[in-house]
Amino acid sequence: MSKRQLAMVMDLNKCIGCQTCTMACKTQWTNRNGRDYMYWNNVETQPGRGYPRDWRRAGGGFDDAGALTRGRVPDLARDYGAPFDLDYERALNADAGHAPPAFAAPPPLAPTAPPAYGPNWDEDQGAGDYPNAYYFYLPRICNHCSNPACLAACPRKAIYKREEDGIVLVDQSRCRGYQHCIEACPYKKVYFNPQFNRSEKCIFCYPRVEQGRAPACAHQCVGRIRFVGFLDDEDGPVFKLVTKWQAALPLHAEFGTRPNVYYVPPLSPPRLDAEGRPTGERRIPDAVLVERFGPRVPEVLALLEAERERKRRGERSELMDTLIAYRHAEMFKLDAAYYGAAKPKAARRVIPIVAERARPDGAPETEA
Amino acid sequence: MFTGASLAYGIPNVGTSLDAWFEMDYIVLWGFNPNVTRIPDAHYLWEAKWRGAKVVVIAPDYNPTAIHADLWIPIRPGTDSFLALSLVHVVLEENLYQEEFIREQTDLPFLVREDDGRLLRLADLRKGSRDDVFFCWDEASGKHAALPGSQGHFRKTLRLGTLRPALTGRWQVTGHDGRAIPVTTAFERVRAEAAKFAPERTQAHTGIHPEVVRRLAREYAAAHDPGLTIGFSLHKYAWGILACWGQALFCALTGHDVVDTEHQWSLGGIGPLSSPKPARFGSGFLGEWFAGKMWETFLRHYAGKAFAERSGIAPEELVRLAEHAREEKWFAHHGEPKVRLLFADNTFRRNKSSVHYRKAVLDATELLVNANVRMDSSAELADYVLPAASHYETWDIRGEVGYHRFANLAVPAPGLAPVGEAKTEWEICRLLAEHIAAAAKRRGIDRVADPEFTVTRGEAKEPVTRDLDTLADDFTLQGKLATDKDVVQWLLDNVPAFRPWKLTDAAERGFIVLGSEAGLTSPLYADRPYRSFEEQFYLKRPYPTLSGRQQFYVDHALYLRLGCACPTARAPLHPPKFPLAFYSPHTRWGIHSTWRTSKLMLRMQRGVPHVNLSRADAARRGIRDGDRVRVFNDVGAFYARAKILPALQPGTLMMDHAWEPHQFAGRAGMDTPVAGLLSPLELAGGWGHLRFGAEWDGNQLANESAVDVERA
Repeated sequence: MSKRQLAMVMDLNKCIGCQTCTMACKTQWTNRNGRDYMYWNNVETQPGRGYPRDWRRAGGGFDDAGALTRGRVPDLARDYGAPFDLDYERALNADAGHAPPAFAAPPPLAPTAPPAYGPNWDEDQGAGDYPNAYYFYLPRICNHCSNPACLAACPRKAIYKREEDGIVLVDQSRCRGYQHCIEACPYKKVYFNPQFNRSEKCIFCYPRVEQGRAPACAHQCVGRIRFVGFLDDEDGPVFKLVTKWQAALPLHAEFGTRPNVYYVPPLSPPRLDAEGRPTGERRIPDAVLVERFGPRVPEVLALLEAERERKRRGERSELMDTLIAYRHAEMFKLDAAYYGAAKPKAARRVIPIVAERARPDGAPETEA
Repeated sequence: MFTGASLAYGIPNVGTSLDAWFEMDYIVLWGFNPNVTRIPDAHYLWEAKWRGAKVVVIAPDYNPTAIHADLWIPIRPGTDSFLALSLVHVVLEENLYQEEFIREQTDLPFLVREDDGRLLRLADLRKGSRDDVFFCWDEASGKHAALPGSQGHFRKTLRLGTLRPALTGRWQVTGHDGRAIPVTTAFERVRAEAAKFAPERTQAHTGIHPEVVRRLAREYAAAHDPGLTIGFSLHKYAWGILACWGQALFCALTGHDVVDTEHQWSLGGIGPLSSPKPARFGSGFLGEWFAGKMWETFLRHYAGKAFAERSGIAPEELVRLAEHAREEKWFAHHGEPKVRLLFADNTFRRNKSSVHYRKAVLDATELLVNANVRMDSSAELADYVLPAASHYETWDIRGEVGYHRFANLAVPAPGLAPVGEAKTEWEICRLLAEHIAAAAKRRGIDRVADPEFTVTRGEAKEPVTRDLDTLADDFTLQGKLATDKDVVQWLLDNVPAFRPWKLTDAAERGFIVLGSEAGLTSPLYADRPYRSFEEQFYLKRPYPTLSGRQQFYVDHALYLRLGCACPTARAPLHPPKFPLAFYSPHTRWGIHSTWRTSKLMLRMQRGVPHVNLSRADAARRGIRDGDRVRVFNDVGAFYARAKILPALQPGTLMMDHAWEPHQFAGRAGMDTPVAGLLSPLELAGGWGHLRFGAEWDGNQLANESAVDVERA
């Protein structure tokens, strides 16, 4: 347990599934050097198989007795989806050097190998039967858990949790690529980099955070659904949403890792009866949400409706005003000075994400 | 183009900047999916919801915007005009309309002749007089009176003064020949038409329960600040024009503003950049119909009685109507070019009946040149591709149509070297102009008389000349605009809406905040959202329509003949011989085809084009998620992967638009089976404000074709 804990809240009522967060993360951290298949931040349609495929049933976390359980390591092609390239040469330059036939079509511009899965494979599919289909978007990053299963599983003690903010990191100099952390993480948010034979994961953009800036996924979020700050900061949005209003809930708390990403569960339009009239019942069954966000879901949804009703009447609601997210400064409560002040002189082990490229002789080479 | 809005307001793009959503208390999104198509602005909706607003989404599928709504109303594709007329019906039946607003702001008090259905005009009363002055029945004086503000009236105001125009009644006026003319009001006509469309009757078309319709109408009328925003997808149906016109009427009757059709900013001041001579600007929808010989796919797909029954016009007649519209010059058409120079147009991706279109156009084209930043489905067919510098390598101002008040300034990184031989589009044009000028001088064809355009000099009419020898000078304003950066500087100096921004400040920030003059029919205030027509609502300036008011009665001969002189409803035209209504809304994954083949984006999909099937339709055909399928009809076929969407209405097939044809087997893209189709109502012209130009042109109707699908 660290001294303080950074946390993130995501309001699923505002997520539009645009994947801007995914791209912010991807282009910043994982578009090269063995990380192409990784989405430290992904947004998946739920109910659905998610990313990696069926992660919710892939095991890991702690059992009721608090014992670490082993899950499986997802398969690259089947569960993550192999990151494909496009065959431009064959598709667009096929007739180079030949007399072009009279529009006898060259092969289509397509992936070099047909993809079997991907990070957003079941986009917008969800469940239910028309017209009562339902789905919602679930953005996921590493939960930077207070009781991280990945940390517990690592025989090399390569995974550590920072004292000053609770960010969970993989020490790249200690990691030997055993992948126990990947088995153990019930959210499957640790990834194996085959190029360096190391585990890698979301770093909560700590180089940004230490400068007082929100993680890229949160800062770039055009839906303005994300709130970032310290859980114990009573003036911050995270404290208000998680502790004061208790409107944000952890995902699969029963995994036992005490995650630090919280979700405001989604309301949904009413089911329609056989004649097409709206019923009083939300179309996402409560059970679907309870399974993911725990038993307090109905209570939180009722709270959201009640506070919204207050706003409709022209009254004040701190909860609604917080969720409306007027300004970045109110959504992200971070402090560069805190890191400057709290920085321990020697003990602080910040391993830059600069990756190493294994050379044949075994000596590491710094990535360009 | 939002033709329904053009009918009503004389302007196709009206409404609000999208931050206005945040102020509203009742928001209806109809055929509009902003969570996918307006990603930067969608947050205003859900923040408005947390502020207490109610959000209603009307769409055939449970789309990504509907998931956050308070109510999703599923509608059968293409039946929107029935719902619009039912809303009008309820408002009239339950007296929810705002009399003062419609008396002043609309043509509903205008007198209509009961004998021929035409609007009563001054020329009817006084021989040889104007046909653009109209009348109401003045309750104050007990007789007919001319209404100010119309195109022919000398008073350019909507102010009624002492007039008290009647909305209902039947009277007689005396014509110029002394005979009595029976008249009534446009309002009476509208009411009689709407009476046919009780929600209980339109349910058979729309699939929407009447209680839902009645509640929607009542809640909208009672709201303090409601808004109805429609998507362009409605105008990809034959009767989208009627749906939008009906929606405009609904908004007018409730006194609540106008239907929002993505308003556009007014960037006045750019005139001198164009040649002072008339441009050979042609009608897009009609030009492509002729260029692509689309009447052939149209006749194949829509042959038979069903079309005539639903549209009131036989298929062959529609083809003749298109030819008539061209001959009458209702829409400009300058023939088929032998040389095509494409800029910023992926024409072989965009046009419907795509394989058919491609062949027709390529057969008729001797030289195809394409300036392009990438090898898209049009570039790969060109004889020459002129490699263009991409968006981030060029100085440019990228204006938003009107969603928000910012225009982005593209600033190339200092010292950026061009990729290969790429040049900015401005430089490509300048060099082409220089070479054309030099070649023209060499060949002694300095000036060419335009066969179509004339200019009057003194008494005489002379042909407009196309001055090839000075082309480069004219293009660069006598050398002042040599580079893309010069143009951006010129725009900042000359466009009032960009003032007072200086190039250095704008370049540093990367954007410009538009000034007050960006507003077209209202000022753009610095501190609040834009809303159209404040000049009309408060200053009482006329609308740019024939009547000078919001127009809900159009007595064009074609409209009278088709029974569409006022908003009405028509059934969709999907031929019954194929079971699935095919529609293709805008995608989350590109701006049309731009970015559509980006590897990063495709990895977030399935890598190859997929077509969405409902569970029921897939099961009936033994199709599973991921299967390769063939989508076909009597126009053409394409292959794609099946994706099963529980959110999709059975009986429909939906595919995100703008996949590149070269992503498909045989280059047969998703628009291959989409038949050419024009809406007869969009072929009208030569009447009042229905004159071809930026405010009046038609649409290619992508969403009225029917298909079937099978495993392949």
